[in-house]
Amino acid sequence: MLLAGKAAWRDFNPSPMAKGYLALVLHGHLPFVRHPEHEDFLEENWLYQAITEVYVPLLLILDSLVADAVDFRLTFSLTPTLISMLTDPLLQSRYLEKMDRLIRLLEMETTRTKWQAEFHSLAAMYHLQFTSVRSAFVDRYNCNLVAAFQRLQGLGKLEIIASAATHAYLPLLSVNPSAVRFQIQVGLAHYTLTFGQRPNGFWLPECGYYPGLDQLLSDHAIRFTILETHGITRARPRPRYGVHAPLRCPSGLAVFGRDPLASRQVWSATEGYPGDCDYREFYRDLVHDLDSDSLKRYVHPGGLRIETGIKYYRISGKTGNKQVYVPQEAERKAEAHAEHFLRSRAAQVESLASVMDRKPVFVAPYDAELFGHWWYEGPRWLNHLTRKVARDPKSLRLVTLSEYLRDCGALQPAEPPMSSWGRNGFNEVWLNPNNHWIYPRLRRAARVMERLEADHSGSDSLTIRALDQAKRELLLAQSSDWAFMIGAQTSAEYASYRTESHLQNFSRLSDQIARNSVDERWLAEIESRERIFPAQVLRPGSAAHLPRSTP
Amino acid sequence: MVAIPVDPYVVHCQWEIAHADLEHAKRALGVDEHEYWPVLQFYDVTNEDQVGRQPSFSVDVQLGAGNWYVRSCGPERSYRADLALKREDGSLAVIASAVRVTTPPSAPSNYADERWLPIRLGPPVGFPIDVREEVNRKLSALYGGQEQRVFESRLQGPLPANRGEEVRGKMGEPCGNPEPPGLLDQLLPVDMRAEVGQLLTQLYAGLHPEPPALAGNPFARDPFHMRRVGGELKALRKDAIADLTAWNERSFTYGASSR
Repeated sequence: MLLAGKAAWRDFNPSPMAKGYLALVLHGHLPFVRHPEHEDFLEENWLYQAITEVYVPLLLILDSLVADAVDFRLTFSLTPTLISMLTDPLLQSRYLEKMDRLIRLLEMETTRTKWQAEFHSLAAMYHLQFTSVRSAFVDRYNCNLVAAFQRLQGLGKLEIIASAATHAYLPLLSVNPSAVRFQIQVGLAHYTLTFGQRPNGFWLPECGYYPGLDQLLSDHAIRFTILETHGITRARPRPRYGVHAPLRCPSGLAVFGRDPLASRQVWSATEGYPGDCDYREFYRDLVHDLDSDSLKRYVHPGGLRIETGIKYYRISGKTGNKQVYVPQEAERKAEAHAEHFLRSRAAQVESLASVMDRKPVFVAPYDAELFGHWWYEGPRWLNHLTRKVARDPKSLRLVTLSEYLRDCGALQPAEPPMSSWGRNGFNEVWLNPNNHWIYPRLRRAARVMERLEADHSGSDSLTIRALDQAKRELLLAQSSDWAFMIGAQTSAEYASYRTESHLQNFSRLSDQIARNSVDERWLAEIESRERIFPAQVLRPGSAAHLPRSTP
Repeated sequence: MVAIPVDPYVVHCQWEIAHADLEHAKRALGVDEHEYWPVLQFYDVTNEDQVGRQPSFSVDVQLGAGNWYVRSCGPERSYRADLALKREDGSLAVIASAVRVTTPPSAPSNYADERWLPIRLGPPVGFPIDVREEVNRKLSALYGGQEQRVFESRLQGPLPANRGEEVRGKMGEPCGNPEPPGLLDQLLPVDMRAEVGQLLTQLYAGLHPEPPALAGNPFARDPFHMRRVGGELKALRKDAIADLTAWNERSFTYGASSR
C-alpha cells in the first residue's frame, strides 16, 4: 500500500500548465454512538444514514473515477469516532438489518405506487439505489468502508488526514494543555493503528484554532492544518496573498485558509447550490406519511419516525406545495453547478494571476455529510466536477494539501488568531448559556486524570485497565458534538445524557482507582459498551516509528 | 477562575471559590456586608510594558452565578481579570484571579512585514538558521564585504573615474587601484537563486536523509524584490497585492458551515 502511494507521488506532475490548484477537503465525522444495550437505538441511525447516503455513494464515485482513469485528488479527514463505528461488527450487522427493512419497505412502496407513475419510478429508483448500496457495502467493500478509503490513499488519489480523538473543540480545552495534547496524541495513534502510517495533516475539529496550538501540532510532527477564512486573513503580519497561499506558523506548521467564495457556493443556505428548486427536498421524508403498522414493521419497532432517506419531492422553492422530484432534472443541475463552480474558480485564477507570483490554491473544505445526506445530489456534483477538472487541466488542477506543500516553495511566516468555522466565527457555538456548565466539569476531570496517570501508571493490570477506561470516558465527554447539540437545542437531551454519563463513569472509575478497589465486573461492562480506542492507542508512542503517509 | 474569549468583544469568566477565600476577602475589606459587592475587575494589559496605569473596568456580578459573560471587551486586547469584592471608595479585595486572556482580532492586521520561509514535509526540526541573516552574509561575501545596497548603487551610478584608466592624484601620482574595465557591463558574478538554494541544501544535508522539499527554489521572493514567473521577471501590481486579504474578508461570511 505504501509503495503504491510512493509510486503515485513520483508520478505527480506539478502541472506547469495549470494556473491554479483546487484542494477539495471532505471532513468525515460522527460522534461515537453505540448502544449494544438497546436493540434499536435512535441515534445510531446517524451512522446508518451516513453509510447509505454519503460514504458508499462517495466511494462508488471515487472508484468509478479510478476505473475511468480520471486524474483526481481529494483530501479526506476521517475521525477516530467515525472510523471506530465504521469498523464495528455490531454496528455493521445492525446496519444490514436496517437496510433489509428499508428494502422491504421499498418493495411495498413500489406496489403501493403502482398506479402513480411518477412516484412509482421514484420508489423503483430508491429500491435500486438501496439494494446497490447494500450490495456494494457487503460484496465490494466487505463491510469495511475504512479499508476502501485506505485503498484510494494507497493509489495516491486520496490523502486521509487525522483528527482529534473525539472531535473535541480544542480552543475550549486549552485551559488544560494536557487535555489538548491527549486529544491530539490519541487521534494520531488511532490513525497510525488504522492506516499503518503517520499523517501529514490534521483536521482541527470545527476548524477551532487558538494561538499556540500550532506548536502542539508541530510537536506531534503534523505538517499542516486548515483554518476558517478569517483564521488566515486576520493573521499577523497581514497575509500577502490572503487565503490563496498557506502561511507558516511560528512552529513551522503550515496553515491553509478556506476559500470564502468556494465555500459559499456550496454551503450557503440562500446562495448555495444545494438550495436549488430542482434538488431533492430534505425534510419531506416518506416516514411522515407512513401508517403506524408500516412504521413499526419497517422503520422502528417502537414506532419512532426515524428518517428513511426515501423522499419523493423536490425543493420547489419557498412553498409548502412541493412538487415531485425529477432525478434527470436534478442530474442536469448537478452538472451545470459543477460547471459553474469550475468557471468561478477559473475566473478567480485569472484575476489572481496578475497579483500573485505563485499559483493560487483554493481550499474548499466541507462536511462530508453535506454530500449525499443534506445535499442528495452532492456526490453527483463532485463526480461532474472532478471529471471536468481532469478534462481541462489548463486552468485548474486538483491537489491534495501535501502535494501542494511539496510544490509551493516558501511560505509567509505569520501568526493566526483564534478562529473557528462555527456561527460568528469564534467560540460561541460551544460556549453559551446553554452549554457552559460542561466546562468546569471537564476541566476538573482533566486535572484528576493528570493525577491518576502520575500516581497509578505503574499499577497492576486491573488498575491499568481502569485507567484506560477512565481515559475513554474523559475523551468521549470532551466531544464537541455534545456541546453543539446542547447549545443548539437539537438532540440536547441525549447530548446532556452522554456528557453526564461519561463524566459520572469517569468519576466512579477515578474513585475506585484511588481507593484501589476497581469493580471488575462493572469495568468489563462499560468496556464492552464503549468499544473505541484499544489500549495501545491510549498509550501513545508505540506506533511513532511508522512511516509518514505519502500524498 | 478561568477566563476564555467567546469572540472579539466578549470574555466568559467561570469561577469556583472556596469559602475560606471569600471570608479572607471580606476580612481584608473590614467593612459591613452592605458596604461591598462582588465585581469582575478587568485590567487591559495589552501594552503591559508601557509605563503608566493600566486601563481597567469592572462589571458587577452575582457570586452565586459561578460565571459571567463580560461584554465590554475589545478586539485584539489582552486582559487580566480578578473576581473581587469592591467597596464604594473603589478599593478591592481579590477572591480569585484568571490568567491573561487575549481576544481575537475583528479585522485584518495593518502590520505588514514580509519574510518568507521554506516549509518542508520531512521530519520535524526547528529551522536551523536565520535565513535572512544567512542570505545577507552570503551576499556580503559575494560583494567583497560591501553592503548589497552600496554595491548595487556602484553598479548603477557613474564611476568616480574613467573606466580602465589609472586614477592619479593632483600631482600625477598613482591613486588607489584602477577600476576593472567593463564592470558595468557585467552581470552579477553568480546566480543568486542557485547560490541560496545550494546554501540551504548544504544546511539541511546533515540533518535529513531526504532532500529538502525546496532545494531547487527556496525563496519565492529574491533579495532584489523581483519575481521570476515562467522564466521572465515580472513586476507585480504592488498596490493590489495587499488587497487580497481585504478581498477575502469582504467575500467571507461567518459560519458558512453546518455549524
